[in-house]
Amino acid sequence: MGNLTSVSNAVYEMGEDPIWISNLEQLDDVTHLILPGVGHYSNAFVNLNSIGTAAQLVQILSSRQIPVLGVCLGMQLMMEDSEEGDGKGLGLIPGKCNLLQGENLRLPHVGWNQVVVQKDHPVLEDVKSDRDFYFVHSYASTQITEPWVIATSFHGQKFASIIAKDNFIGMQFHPEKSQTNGLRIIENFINWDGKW
Amino acid sequence: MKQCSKCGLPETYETIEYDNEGVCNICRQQDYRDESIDWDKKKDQLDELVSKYRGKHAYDCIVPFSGGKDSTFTLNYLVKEYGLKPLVVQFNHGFMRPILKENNERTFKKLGVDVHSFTPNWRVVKRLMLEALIRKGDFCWHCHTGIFAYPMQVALRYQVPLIFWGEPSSEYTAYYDVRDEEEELVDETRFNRYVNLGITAEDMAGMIKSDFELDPRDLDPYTYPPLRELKKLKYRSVCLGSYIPWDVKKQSKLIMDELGWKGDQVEGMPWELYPYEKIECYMQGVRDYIKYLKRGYSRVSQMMALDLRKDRISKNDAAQLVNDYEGRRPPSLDLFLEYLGLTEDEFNQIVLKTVVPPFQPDFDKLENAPKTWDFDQWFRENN
Repeated sequence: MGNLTSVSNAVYEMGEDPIWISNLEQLDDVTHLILPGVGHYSNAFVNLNSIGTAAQLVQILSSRQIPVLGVCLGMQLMMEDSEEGDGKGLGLIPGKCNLLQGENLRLPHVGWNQVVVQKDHPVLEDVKSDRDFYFVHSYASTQITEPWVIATSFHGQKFASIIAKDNFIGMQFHPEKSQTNGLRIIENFINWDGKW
Repeated sequence: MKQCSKCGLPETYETIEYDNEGVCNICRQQDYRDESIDWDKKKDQLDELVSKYRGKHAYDCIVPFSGGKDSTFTLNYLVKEYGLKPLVVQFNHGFMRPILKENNERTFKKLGVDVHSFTPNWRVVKRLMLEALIRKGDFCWHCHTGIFAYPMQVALRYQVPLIFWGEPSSEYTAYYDVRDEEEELVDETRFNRYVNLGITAEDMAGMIKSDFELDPRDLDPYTYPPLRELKKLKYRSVCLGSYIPWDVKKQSKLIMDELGWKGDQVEGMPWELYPYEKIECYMQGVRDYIKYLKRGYSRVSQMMALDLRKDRISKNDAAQLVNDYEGRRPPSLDLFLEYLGLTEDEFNQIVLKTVVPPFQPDFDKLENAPKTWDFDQWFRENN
């Protein structure tokens, strides 16, 4: 997936030593997991399945309670499913994704856009509401399913830009490409124990 | 020139903007600081911060220290209010004055602290001063980058994550606006925003290596350490003045009373009225003189601005002081020209290129400032 190196670099700059994992056994060595992602839902799902079955992954992540951050497509994969392709999501956080709608709407939604915080979360510590973050996507979770929505944004229609449940948090934008506030989010995630 | 209706700072002042009433943004953020910040809450945050780091590392904190009123107050406060064990880090810019050295020794001995002192290579310093003067009309690059980068290197070397600076820049400029409720962290962002004049050590190496025999390590003291290393250390680099309201006049009196700290004559300043301001460098007079030639004001106007905001002086008296003291040619300029190997005409030509409009300096009308008592003790290149 396209942003692997950017995410990895951001984590490295924050003082940690990221590893890229390719099988489920390697999960034993990590304290935090990031699902990055720019790409197609189905392909990503196939990739994930090559690491191990989705069911196994869900089981490990839920039982070990390690903090998991999904970025962009990674966030969408954390949800139940998407209009894009026919793959199923991991179902870690309720909700599904569909193509953004709006009159003469330009897609993909690329660039900086405001993120309006609806609810406190440890990963957003010292990050103010209404700040801009960098987006690249066409699909999004537009059915705002309470109580999992932490922040919303608008492109043609309102959509969930941050969702969270238990030790899982997903972001539709790219913190690794969002300058100071984005790096703050990554640092907060690294320091998060998965509870809130 | 347009001036703030309250503090008198002119439009050539860095980061300044005026509102509909003609009041500048720096006055406005001071009002906010005095009226809207909950200082009790800030003090609680300071208590929390200190207790988080106390007793866990080789030192409780690093205190970068020039020996001026602000760093002396900061050190005094941290030792007496919290009983911290700091490592004092002193970057010697090359122009420390006799009274300052006496002050430092007295302060260190009275407070009982460990001190790490560093003096960079003078030959390199001179070349850096010349380059920064030519490119930016500001020869203090070596001092400002060294003062902010070197203590961070020491923090890494000793693995001490908490670094306490003194005065926030929002007391003087609007690079950080207290109204944003964004804490002024003394980090690489701030370093690159204005401290280093947009010139990193790496840039500087490229600028001077063609005519200067440069060892690649010569610029290490001026290099900000990698973010990753600081993050690994979980560093916190903050201003004490973000947690307690800063009042230079009160604080200067306090260190004079408690530590026997002494003020000094500073070139171009009213000696009786402001004995505590910028006593740490014998090139201060040249810095202020260049500021005047570029922007039409100097340290006197800045001191007037602070006092006008606090209603400690009348506008007439302030204007009189500015008129009597500002824009005088300092005796230290002769030493400066010797160090850099420049004639005064060459110096004037360099500075003219960096003048901030609408100000225009008039070199023919300049009077001389008097010598300070210690002028004859300052380093001469040709002796």
